[in-house]
Amino acid sequence: MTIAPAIGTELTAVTQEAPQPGWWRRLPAKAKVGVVLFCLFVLTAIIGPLVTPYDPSYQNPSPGASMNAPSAAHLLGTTQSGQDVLSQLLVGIRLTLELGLIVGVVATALAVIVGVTGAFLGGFWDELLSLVTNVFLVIPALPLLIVVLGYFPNKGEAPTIAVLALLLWPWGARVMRAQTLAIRNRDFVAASRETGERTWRIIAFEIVPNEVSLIAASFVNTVLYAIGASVALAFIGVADLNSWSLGTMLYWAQSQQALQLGAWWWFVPPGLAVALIGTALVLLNTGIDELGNPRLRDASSASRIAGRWLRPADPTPVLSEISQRRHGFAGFLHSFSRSSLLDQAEAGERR
Amino acid sequence: MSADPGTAAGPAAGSSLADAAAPSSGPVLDIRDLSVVYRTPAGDVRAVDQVNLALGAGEVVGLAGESGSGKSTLAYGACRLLRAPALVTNGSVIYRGRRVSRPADILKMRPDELRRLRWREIAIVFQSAMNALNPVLSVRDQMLDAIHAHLKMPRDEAHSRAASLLDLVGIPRSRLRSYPHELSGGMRQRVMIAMALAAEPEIIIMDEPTTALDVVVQRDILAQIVELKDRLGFSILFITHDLSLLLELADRIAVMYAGRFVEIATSDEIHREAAHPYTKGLLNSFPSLRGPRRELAGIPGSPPDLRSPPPGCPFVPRCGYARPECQDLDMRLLPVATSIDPDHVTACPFVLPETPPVASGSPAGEPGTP
Amino acid sequence: MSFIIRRLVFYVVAAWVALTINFFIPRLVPGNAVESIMAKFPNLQPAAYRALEALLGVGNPGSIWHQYWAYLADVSHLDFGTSVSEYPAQVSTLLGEALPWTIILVGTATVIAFLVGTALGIAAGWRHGGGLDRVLPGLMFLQAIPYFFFALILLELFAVKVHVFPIAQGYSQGLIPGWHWDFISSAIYHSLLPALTIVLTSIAGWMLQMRNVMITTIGEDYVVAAQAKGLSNRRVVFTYAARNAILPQLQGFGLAIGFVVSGALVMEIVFSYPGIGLLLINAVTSNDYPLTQAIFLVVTFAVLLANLIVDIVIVFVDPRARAREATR
Repeated sequence: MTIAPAIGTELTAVTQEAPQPGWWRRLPAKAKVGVVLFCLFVLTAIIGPLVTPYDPSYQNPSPGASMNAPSAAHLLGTTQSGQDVLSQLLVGIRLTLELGLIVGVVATALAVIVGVTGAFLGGFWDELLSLVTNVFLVIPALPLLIVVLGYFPNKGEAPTIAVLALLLWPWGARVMRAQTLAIRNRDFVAASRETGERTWRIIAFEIVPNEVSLIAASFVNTVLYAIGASVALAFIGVADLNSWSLGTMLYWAQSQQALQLGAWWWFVPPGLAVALIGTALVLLNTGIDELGNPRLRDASSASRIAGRWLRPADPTPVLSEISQRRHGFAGFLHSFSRSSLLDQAEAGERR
Repeated sequence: MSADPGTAAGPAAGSSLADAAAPSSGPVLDIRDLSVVYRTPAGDVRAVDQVNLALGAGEVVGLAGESGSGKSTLAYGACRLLRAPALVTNGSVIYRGRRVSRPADILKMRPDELRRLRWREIAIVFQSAMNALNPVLSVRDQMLDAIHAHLKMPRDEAHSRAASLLDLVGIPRSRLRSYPHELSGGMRQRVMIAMALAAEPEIIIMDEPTTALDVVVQRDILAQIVELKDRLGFSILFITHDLSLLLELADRIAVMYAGRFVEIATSDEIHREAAHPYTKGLLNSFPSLRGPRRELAGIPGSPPDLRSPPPGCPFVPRCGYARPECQDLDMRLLPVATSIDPDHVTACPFVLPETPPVASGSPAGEPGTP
Repeated sequence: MSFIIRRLVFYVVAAWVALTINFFIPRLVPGNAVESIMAKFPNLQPAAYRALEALLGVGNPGSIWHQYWAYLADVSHLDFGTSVSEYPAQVSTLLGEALPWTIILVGTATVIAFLVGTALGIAAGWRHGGGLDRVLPGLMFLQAIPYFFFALILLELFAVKVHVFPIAQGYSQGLIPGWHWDFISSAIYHSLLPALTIVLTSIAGWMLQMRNVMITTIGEDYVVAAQAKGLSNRRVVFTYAARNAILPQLQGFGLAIGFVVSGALVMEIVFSYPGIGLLLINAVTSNDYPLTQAIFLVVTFAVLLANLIVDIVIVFVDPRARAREATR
């Protein structure tokens, strides 16, 4: 008895997947906030320096202009030497973001190259590369940065970017290597090898596209750390103190005793800006995490059933028991909610 | 039928099934009209749809079907072990174990009652023992966990019980000290089985226990399971996609597709003359050692998307006997009159065991008269 | 045991790399650093200049290998040379004075933050979707704030505006350091705000990390199996879920130690706390190379040591770690 395959032509294709909502809709709320916030800062970085009300370096010699609280003329007040804080902030955001993003790009590129290649080649090269990676992971970056940059006569943006990128790639490399090791033995890679595809092509076109969310997460992390480190360095004084980045603003604020003199408008805005950029990036990362790790995503959206929060220990909920729980006033209110409509629809559908 | 939520009897030390009172009438596990959905952002997925199944004392019932057919969801859902976003939307699961004073609906139990029910009355052998065993605890600790949770006995007694459980499944006692990663696959599965027996349950649900093992070990373990069942008297709900296994092992087989049962009969009857097209397809997917050589055919296509189930019978796209009437089918299980098994039911009213398949190309064939 | 020995070897290699970087960087950077120092500090003894030259490889101090071995020998005797900015104090003396302050403050605060954060993370992961989850965005914000900025804010609020905590220093002026209660109580009082800053800024990170690990772990089959066995919630959460989740968390701790220490150093500056951080900024602004190098080495060694300790703890907690390394 054999069964001949027969497809009824009058039936619609039931095996097609329902279309997935676009990636924007699938992002959790937190991540959306992060994206919006980050875009705001990028926008500020782009147009900010073009719209500064004053030249940030211009020092107003008159004593009455020093350390002014925010006013109509100076929206964020002035520094000790009469400079406009708002202008400095606008320029600072661009400089800081610029630095962070460049470091992110360079370090992530290095991380992908080293991590993926090492895992893919295996053997001696893998051992060597992961040794190098691990050593630089474990040596604390900030003190090393301080020492290395300390030798440069001008601690400008270029050396800072270079040294940061050189110190930050191991973090991403480690992750990339682990993931590549997992993918390397999968069938589609073996298939490419069989057909004689060249190694670099396999890496570029088969392996890397599968690790995009990891690369994105690594990039965001690197930018986060780069910004934090550059601000910390500038705060200590290991930076080009004539440029206006958020970190140097804090340095000058600290050295001019802004705290003790109560000039909060000088150190709060740059610090707040750094914190908000950081928060935006962390939120972004959460979104990428949840997109990539289905368990986190399922957990966040799914722990709420029929209006109740569930813990993993709770037994599978039974619909009748949930709807029974609402009596009296609570039940009355509940009858307006969307979940109660779902419950009713459920009840109506029972044959 | 509704049953008032009785309370399960407390765990009397050492009370075994043999000593229990005379069995109450009715099957040990009675699943009625059970429906389970997964509530996802993209919509509700009906994983199990109005399912009925009864498990008798000492019986082995096989649950067969492809991955995604809902077999595991049915079993775990009946025990309320499914995690969010699962939701039981309908039905009752009445438990009538020999230790229990009154029949009780599992779906209505309070968490503490459920905890008493778990393992002591219904135990589970999971699919992948490597994943189901805690990697940081030794075998002994995990067995003691299971024992102490339900049986009140002094420590050394519990320890010797754990050792004798390992004896039951043929594992050396020295392995009590081992960690899961130090055991071979077959050993791990045996440990799982030993653990399932720790509290002398009435029912053991086995979720593809041998799928991950090689054939020789599979054979051994299955033989062991049968021997233990005969000795200790528990019932088994055996979930697998391998119908050939069930033909040997099970008393009755329930075939599941897209969240619904399509055929239920004794294993002899399924082997002799299966009634539903899907079952026929499954039977044709593996060769038998004896009997004439015939052409092997699989079942082309894949299961439907349960988010938007098609009207009527879900098997239509892959069915060789499909006809326009199938779209209006309500999937009730109907008795098969020509069967030796009086309880043989099928969901397809058009196809009988003797119905020849449709010649490919023609839209409708002659129906066999029910 | 072999696992621990392998890790030890690794850390020794890392330490050697740190030393070598320290040695070679000044020789690779263009410009004559010694001259700029001489210009800044003209009253140093000639021996000090020679020592500096030896440190930085300027002049004709001999072959590279000779210098390298001399350098390694010095370090092994904990001889880091003479400080330039605090001349004629020995670097090792300065370090010795500042180190205990930092270790006690940063060590205690970090451990507290880790323990509390992890505990909160366990609760947040287990009660997913509950109250703790609502605090998450706030915590993320907290985590993104640079340590020192947060220190500034806290200082502003609790020391300047409202005089709950002292503004600066490690202990009240006028007290002589020593093992007597006056001094110790003052030291504790002064360390409260810095410690609070460290705890508040780092706790969010630990909690978030543990929460995510817990959520992933709870999805594992063995946790479902534990529930199927009817074990008490407590047992499931702690012995089955948390006990496994703690392993990646510990590894994360090892990796993060470097960050935490770095952040804490910078934060010390805000409080003028007499630890390594303050020493560092003074050294940096005055180009005191012997001091900066020594601080870098000491901090690195401390972090390596902490990592080794974490590795040892992991071996004790995870039976697979011993096996994994043994089979390689």
